[in-house]
Amino acid sequence: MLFNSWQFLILLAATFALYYAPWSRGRHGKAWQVSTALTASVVFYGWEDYRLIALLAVSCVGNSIATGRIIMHKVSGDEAMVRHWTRIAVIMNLGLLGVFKYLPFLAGQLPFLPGEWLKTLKQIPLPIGISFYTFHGISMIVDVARGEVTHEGDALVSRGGRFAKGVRDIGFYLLFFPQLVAGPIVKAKQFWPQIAAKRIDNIPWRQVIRALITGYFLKIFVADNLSEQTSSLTLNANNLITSSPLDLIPLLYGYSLQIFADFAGYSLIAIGLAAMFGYRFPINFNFPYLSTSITEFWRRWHMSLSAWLRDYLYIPLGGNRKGPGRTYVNLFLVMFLGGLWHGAEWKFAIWGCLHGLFLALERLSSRRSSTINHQPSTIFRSFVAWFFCFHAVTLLWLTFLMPDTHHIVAFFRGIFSGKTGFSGPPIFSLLFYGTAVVLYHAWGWLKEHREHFANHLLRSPLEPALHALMIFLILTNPGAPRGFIYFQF
Amino acid sequence: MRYLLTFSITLGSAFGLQLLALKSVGGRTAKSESNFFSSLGRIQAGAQGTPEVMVLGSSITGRLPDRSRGYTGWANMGCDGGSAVDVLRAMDESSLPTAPHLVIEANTLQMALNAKTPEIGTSIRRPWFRVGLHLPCLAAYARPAAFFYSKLLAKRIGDFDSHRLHEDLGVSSKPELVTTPPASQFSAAQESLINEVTAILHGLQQKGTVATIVWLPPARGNGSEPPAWILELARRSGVRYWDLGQQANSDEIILTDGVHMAAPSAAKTMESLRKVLE
Repeated sequence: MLFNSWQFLILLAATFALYYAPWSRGRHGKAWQVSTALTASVVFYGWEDYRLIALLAVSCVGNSIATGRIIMHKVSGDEAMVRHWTRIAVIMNLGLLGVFKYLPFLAGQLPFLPGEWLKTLKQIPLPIGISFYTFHGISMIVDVARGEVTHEGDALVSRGGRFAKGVRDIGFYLLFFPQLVAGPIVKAKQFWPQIAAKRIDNIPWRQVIRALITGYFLKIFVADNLSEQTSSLTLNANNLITSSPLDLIPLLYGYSLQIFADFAGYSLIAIGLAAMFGYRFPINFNFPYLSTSITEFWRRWHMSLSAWLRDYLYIPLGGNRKGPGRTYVNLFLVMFLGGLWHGAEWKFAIWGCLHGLFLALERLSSRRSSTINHQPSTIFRSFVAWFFCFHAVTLLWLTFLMPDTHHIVAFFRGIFSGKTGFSGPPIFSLLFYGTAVVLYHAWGWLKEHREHFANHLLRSPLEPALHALMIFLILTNPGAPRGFIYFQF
Repeated sequence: MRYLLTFSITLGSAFGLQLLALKSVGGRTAKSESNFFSSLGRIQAGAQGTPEVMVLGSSITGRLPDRSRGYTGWANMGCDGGSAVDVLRAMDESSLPTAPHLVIEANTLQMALNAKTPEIGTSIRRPWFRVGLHLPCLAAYARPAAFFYSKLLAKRIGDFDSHRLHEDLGVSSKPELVTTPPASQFSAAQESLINEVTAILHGLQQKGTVATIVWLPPARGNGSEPPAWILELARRSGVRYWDLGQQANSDEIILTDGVHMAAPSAAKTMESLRKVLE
């Protein structure tokens, strides 16, 4: 079910009404609310294909049993068994991801595998959101093993009814519908302490309205409209060769803005929805196109994934504690795996590797500049750095977007074709819809550099007027309804 | 309270401005940057009121001026990237109203041979399309982007209003019934489409609709004959056929991109249609 569908709005209204029903204020308020949200999440997830619920159930029960065991051994001080169960649970989570997401890809790398086998493996469906709920599961296991989630999971060491409550809460953490299919990746230590009875009068409506209107605007007005033009980049490679650079360049910029609007829009909707039900999600995008380096870009783009990779992969690998050489290898490895997390295709691995290469080079350069040639930043240097970073990120989106290298080569052949003609829609769309993303980032710049003025604007009538304009454009100028780009991951 | 007040005033003003802008362009915008919404907009606008003639076809038809440009009673229902069949099917299912006269563009009928249902065909059946039929401010022809894009396009291909010269293409022929069966063999897809469209046209004829299949400019290359299956479709359905594109003087036809007519040629084509069909 999509956030931008009528079915979802009906489900949301019904869930909200039941969640805050008068009896939710009673002694069993938490149980009622968690069960209501969990049921709604199952409907949300199983709407398109109810068979996918079975896999979620396996993940949920498996993680519950492992979490219970880890807590039990943690209490008894048996660290060896804690490590043993942690390994088992992480392998189980990665195993699910491996079978459903990577097995056909890995099998495709084996030249001796019979074609029939490969064909069968490629028929394994990719369950929507599996990358996200698997990472939630691993976060649960590791946070419990590290002692960062403690008494909240105590029910899991009990039997009978209390154990069932523990499973329900784990299910709620894994399945809570705002974050189920495309994040933000909320860590267990952030989410579990929040599971409690909620009251309707504690809803931060201002934050909810702000997040939902901006999120839907970015998705429906910006991303869906840009998508109609940018989708032509992936159609026929021969068309790209014969295209003019004046058509191709706006399409590439358009995709760069579209993917931001699509994913940041989704994340804002998720944050707003969670806040409606009394839960705080971490912000996932912090005006990433203001970045002046790739390092900064990854601190602003898909922040919950970056934080997850840092906490559960980069630091366990040794982070930057084992010397410069190992740091570069770790950075590169994390980005390679981060790239593959997006999809079981070499293009995602290459995309991740190229980002890893940039990160390593920037780290090397900053080490040298800090000791040899450190210069204070100027506006001109900041602009050049921003320009370089934005264009590097935008060019790297090509590997992310294009179906194969043939298309990438065709794109560059078109760029250097020397043709001067152009058609109107790509440039028009970039200017008309892309301006919204530019203004959004201009607002981010104001918040960071002119905080006083930004706060003044927030208190002025500008905000409700902008919200009204956004609603107007959502209603009158929506793009053709499309799924979210990150659903495929 | 202040939030709600500012919000309501701004929202109301935005819708008010949109309706004023819509009125100033004759009820519908000419074109959106999106082929998808341009088509839906034309169809939604075409289905409003009680037009005398509906012109069904592709983006070639889409360039023709209609009642929003002074051709009273004429509705343009061109479907970019599609064909007249998409709208005929919707009329057959009563998803769209029909008119006493239908002009069916022949140039792109072969697009309907593709078994895949086009996106437009699916969208016509969606609830939000119907909402747009009843609420002009939510219709595809009233998209704010379309106002700006139409303005830009008018600069590139010319404004229809400035070419209302009442000149036509100077063609002396008229639509005629096809009586001789073509000698060709048809593919299974062609046969199936002929049967489907013939059934739809017979149904519409029983309700009093008169249809004409017209090959619009530009002409086919090298003066070739029209596809035999289209002539057979006209013959079996008892609909008149007119090869306007082939008979028009090629000097009269100015194209913007090799396929679509510039505004002056589109206006002349419209005059030819009007003089023969009204």
